[in-house]
Amino acid sequence: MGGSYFFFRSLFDGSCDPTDGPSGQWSDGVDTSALGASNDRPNPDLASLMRRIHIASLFALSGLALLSSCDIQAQAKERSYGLAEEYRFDKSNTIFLEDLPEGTDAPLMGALEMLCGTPAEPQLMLLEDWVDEGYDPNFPEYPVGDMGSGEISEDEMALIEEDNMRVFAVQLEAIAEGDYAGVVPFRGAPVLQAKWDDFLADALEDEDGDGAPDFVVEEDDSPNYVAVDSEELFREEAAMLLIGWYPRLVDSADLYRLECMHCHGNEGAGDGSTAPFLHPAPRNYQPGWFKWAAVENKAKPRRVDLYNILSEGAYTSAMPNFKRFSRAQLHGLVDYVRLLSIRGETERMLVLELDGGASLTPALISETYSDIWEQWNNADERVVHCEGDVPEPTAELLARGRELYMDANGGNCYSCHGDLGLGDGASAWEEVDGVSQRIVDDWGEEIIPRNLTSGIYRGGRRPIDIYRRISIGITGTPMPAVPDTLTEEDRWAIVHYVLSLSDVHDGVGLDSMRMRAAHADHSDEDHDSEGH
Amino acid sequence: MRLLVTLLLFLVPVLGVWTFWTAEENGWWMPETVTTYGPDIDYLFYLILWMVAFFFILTEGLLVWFVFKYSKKDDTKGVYSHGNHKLELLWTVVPGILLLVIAFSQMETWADIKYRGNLPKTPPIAHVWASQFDWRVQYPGADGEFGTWDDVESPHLFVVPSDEDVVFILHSRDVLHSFFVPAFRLKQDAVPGMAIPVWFNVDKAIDEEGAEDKEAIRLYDLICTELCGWGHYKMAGRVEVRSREKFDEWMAEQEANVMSNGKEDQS
Amino acid sequence: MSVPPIPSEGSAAASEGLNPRAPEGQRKGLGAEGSVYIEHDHHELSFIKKYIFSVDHKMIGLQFMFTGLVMLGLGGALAMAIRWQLAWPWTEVPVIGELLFPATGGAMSPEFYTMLFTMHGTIMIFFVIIPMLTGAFGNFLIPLMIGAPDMAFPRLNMIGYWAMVPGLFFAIASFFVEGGAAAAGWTAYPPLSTIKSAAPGSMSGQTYWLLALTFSGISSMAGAVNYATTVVKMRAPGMTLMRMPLTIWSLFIAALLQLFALPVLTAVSIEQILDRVAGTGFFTPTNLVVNQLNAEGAGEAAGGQPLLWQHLFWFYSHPAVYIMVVPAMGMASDILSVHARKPIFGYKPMAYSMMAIAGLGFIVWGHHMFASGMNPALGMTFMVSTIMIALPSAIKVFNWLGTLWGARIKLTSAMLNAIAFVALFIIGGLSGIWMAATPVDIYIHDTYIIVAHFHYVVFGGTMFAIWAGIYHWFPKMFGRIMNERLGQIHFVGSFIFANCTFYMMHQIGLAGLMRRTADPYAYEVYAHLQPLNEFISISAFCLFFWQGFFVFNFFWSIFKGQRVGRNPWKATTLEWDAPSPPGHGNFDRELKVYHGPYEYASPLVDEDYLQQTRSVN
Repeated sequence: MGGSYFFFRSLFDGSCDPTDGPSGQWSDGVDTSALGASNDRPNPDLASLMRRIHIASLFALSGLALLSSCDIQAQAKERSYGLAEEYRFDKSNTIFLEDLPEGTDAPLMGALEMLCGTPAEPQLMLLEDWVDEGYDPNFPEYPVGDMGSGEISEDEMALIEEDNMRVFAVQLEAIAEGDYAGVVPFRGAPVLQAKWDDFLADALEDEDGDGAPDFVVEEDDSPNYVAVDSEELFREEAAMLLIGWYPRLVDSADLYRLECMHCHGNEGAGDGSTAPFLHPAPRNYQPGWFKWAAVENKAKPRRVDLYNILSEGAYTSAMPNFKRFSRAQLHGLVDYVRLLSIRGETERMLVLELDGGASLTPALISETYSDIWEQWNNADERVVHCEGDVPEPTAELLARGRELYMDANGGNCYSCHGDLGLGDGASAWEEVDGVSQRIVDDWGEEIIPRNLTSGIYRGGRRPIDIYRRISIGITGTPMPAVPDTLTEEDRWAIVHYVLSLSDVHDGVGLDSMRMRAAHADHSDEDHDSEGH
Repeated sequence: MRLLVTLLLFLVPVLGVWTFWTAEENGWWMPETVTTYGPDIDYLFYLILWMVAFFFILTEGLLVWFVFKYSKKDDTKGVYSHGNHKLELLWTVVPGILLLVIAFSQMETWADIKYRGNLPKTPPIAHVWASQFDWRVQYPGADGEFGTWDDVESPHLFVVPSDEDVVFILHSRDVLHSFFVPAFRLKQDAVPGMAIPVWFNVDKAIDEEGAEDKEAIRLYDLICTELCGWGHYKMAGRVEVRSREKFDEWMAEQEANVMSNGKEDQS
Repeated sequence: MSVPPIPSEGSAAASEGLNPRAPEGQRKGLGAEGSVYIEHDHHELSFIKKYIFSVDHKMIGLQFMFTGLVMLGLGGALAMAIRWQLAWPWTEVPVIGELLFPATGGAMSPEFYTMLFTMHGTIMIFFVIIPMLTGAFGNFLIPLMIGAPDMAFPRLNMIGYWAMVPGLFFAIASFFVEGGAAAAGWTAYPPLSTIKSAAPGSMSGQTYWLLALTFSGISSMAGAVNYATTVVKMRAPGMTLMRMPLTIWSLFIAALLQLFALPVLTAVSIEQILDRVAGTGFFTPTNLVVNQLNAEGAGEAAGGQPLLWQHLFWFYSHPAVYIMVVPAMGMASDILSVHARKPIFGYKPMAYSMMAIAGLGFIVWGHHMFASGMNPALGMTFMVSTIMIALPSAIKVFNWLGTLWGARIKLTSAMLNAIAFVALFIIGGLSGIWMAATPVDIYIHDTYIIVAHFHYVVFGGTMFAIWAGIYHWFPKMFGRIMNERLGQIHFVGSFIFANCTFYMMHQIGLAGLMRRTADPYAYEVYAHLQPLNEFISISAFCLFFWQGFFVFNFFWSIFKGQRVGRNPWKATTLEWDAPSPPGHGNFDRELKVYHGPYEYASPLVDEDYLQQTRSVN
């Protein structure tokens, strides 16, 4: 310490310490005796104070230097799932948590934790008959019978592997080159990270003492891997670890925390920190209703519906597309969103029972849970599609579409979307206590009918997407399905008419007009420049 | 103190140059460019880099030298000089000429890339729409016309053919955004109310090993670089470059997808 | 060396103990300002009149300085939160995390991040750098260095400070309104800033932000009018324009910049306020729908243009960049010359180059907009003017080096910081050439290179010059000197950590990372930048905490520092003729100026300095 103190001090040689040098004369250019300086003597404690300051600054400098060399592992505090404060079932029925009998919170939380785990360790509880059939939704990539749910087909798994090779390209290259330290950490994949760290640590152990890593991993060292005994095998196995990765719920929960939680909230109740500023509000998963699904109204969505909304986004809402994630990550998020939705709906159903005077018994809990599961697993049966091909929009078809659009007993579209499709029909407002206000949806949000001239469709702009919208309605909103009396052709007529509203040729689509103007400019320039 | 200050000042040019020297190895450098005009921009970048490096080392070096040399304890008077007219002239004229050289050397490249009159004479391949926090690309679809019912809409992915001039029209639906593809050396703000034509031509196909593989499908990050709200950081897209054949294949797939009747969804 | 004739009018009024160049009213004790002035001379003032509603330029200067230092702490703290997020995104923020973000386990929300960098920039520019340079040093130094008893308009001067206070209030209060503080960046580009549904910070935080800006503008305007008038009308006898110290030149030029540029900012902020609260559409294009809600009031008839704001905003804010650096250049020139014991090299080129910077500064604003969709031909002209503005800066750098050549450098804290100013300003200036070159700027625009560039200018340059100024003029402010050893320790750490923090940003920017991103690692291509970002963040934390040495030194020295006389640095300029600290009226004797401001090592006298007031005949 002393030595370094003097070294440090020597660096400051030739400085202007007022305690150095003859009194009143700074050793370095500062003359305190100039023009009427008062002759205050230096504080006698100054010297020892300065010494202390030196030592303190030396400590500070070395401390800060040390700080910059260490690896800070910053973490977010562990969270737990909470209960919602209010449960809105429909316009007239809202249950508040505080109205439930005293002391129901804790058992309810306990039951939900048993069913779905915690944010740090989310896990779906297995029903008894699942165990018998070898069915486990926590492992969608394994087939049924092998403790999986078989939801990820082999074809899909092949696509996932292909995508993993792209996403992990940097890491795979580092592994192939033997630069194991250069393997960039995996974002939102703690389980994978831990596996890789373990595997690498085991492989790099030097048990035979020859100064080089052994690359020996016994099967019992880490049950996750095949035993390896050479670097070549290790690299192969390590690459397989990444390429064959399918995220566990823990991985997905972490990714959800990074990317989704600030809007959709910790429990998926659509109450994240950013949520209050968004229109429309982020989806609350808890009722289990999802707007942009290809299934019947209020049916549970299929995996692929959730996957599509993740990868395509709900255009011009705050839900962006998440195509930058790998297929594996998207599937993982679907798994996790389903878990949150099931947890939330179970919570709602149990609260409804509790409010009705029932008591929280294990039978009630598991019955509710398995009922909800059944709905999720039957989603595929409720897909809406049509038999014929998409017809071309002929003039007759468009005329028929217009007719149905304006027909109160046909499409009845005009009542909300307005005669011109501007989203300003009379039924877009309702009178409440003498005040005209926007209609609300089942989540309690104000809702604005789509301006059909904008050419923006949240649930996709393919004809079949619009077909589904009008055939199903939009789950949870006042947008109803068209009457069953309408034939497939009638529906296509409406679809084409609606699409034509944003068409540059026939419609008044504002964006389209802007686009056309830009086009005209551009082609004018073409002509001009060719002319010269 | 004198030694310490000299050392600190000395480290500025040394570490400064060292950081730039090793930056490429460390991956702290521009990604390799793949467009036709990318090399021109890189050339100008390096031109300025070398000039700047020269003056950086010169001025910092003189500073270190003067501070070291003239901070000795010395009771004599310093040089009584109020300046030197010739020197002033020298260091006004020389940097002035160099700066003019820099300025004039930029002009052609800038005009090539941005001037509307220099746009390639091909019809736009797509309209690219930026919105809060989403990139969406609108292709004309089977009928070859924009704004009709069979338009193909591609979120996130902007698929383009390689070795061709690609012109697209950039729009914003809400606030300002900026279309930035680092590997293309291309950046253009998207302004609501404006339709801005932009072009590029990807003529190099460099895979990770630096080899040419024209048939490979290459992905480049598309980044929003103009603050567009709280989700600015997540507004990512990708440009996918394919050979013309593969591009047409992809387009045909998308066109078929638009015509879907939803049957294949049922599985 | 010939001594210029002294104006003869000087001695008449001197018998009254007043400066002969004081404005009429003051000299005769008439009028409101005059009577205040006389009162100051003869009565002990109440605490409130002396320290709070003071009309004395020195006290107002100190008020600006203390306010600036407090806001510097606040702005720095915001920067620390930014750096935390960039190094360890979405992890628990120390200290404030649990308090502000209980639901996310202490991780900040993305919209809070946008508020952080918006308010960091706003506070640092409008409430730290500008008030410190023009407010604190401008007020304190102008009358002292030109030999005037006070500012030309003392009461306006007081209003200048107190106009800033509501600005401060609005800036800080905006964090607590619905939606939080402004979140559209310090440039507040519409439509993000004008449309309430576009960002949480645009709900009411943005209106507060605009009000804060307007009040800070009023403050700057009051100051600028005052400085320009004082410099033109109240110089001591013999103080010709070409005998003014470069600090005065620089502050005078900055005042002119503010006079011409500020009205535009004020007008444009009012336009944006109208867009936000009155439903006008200056900056909102027709039929804009953001976040599903129509732009309020504007709708179909809006007809505005977002680029209009950019043009008008940068028409002020680019000159503002020079307001932020020109006074620093002037102060550094003075300090270099004093502690190098040598005349400034090329006084006239130094003054002229500052004028050139100011003049060119008005025709370069478009270089902020090369990628904006502005006509590319316009970009070409802005490129040429921008590249040419590097020339006066280069001349200044060479002249500073010339000043050090053959000098007798005293490595005092003030000098160390002034040298650091030169060293770091070079980096900031040189990297600017990339940005000026339009094709290169296509790549560089809005990346971290920009961040590195302006932090080198504003932190590496201006902040070090402010430190140098504080160390240098502290004896004149408080009659005591700051502790040198602590000053050196402060300098060494600040220099190391400032470079570690800002230099590496060049590399991050070259790799393509964009500014204002809450989570760089959302992109796979930037994942490898995390270690570098951690390094920068840790350096930034070190830099922040290292300022503890400065804060301690500053307050300790105010009360316990060694007392010094009038001229502890043996400097030549007029302020060192006044007592330390100067009383009301500043000077206790009649002043006549015989020499230029930098007569060091003069052969005319035995000492190595020849004060401006000393006649050698």
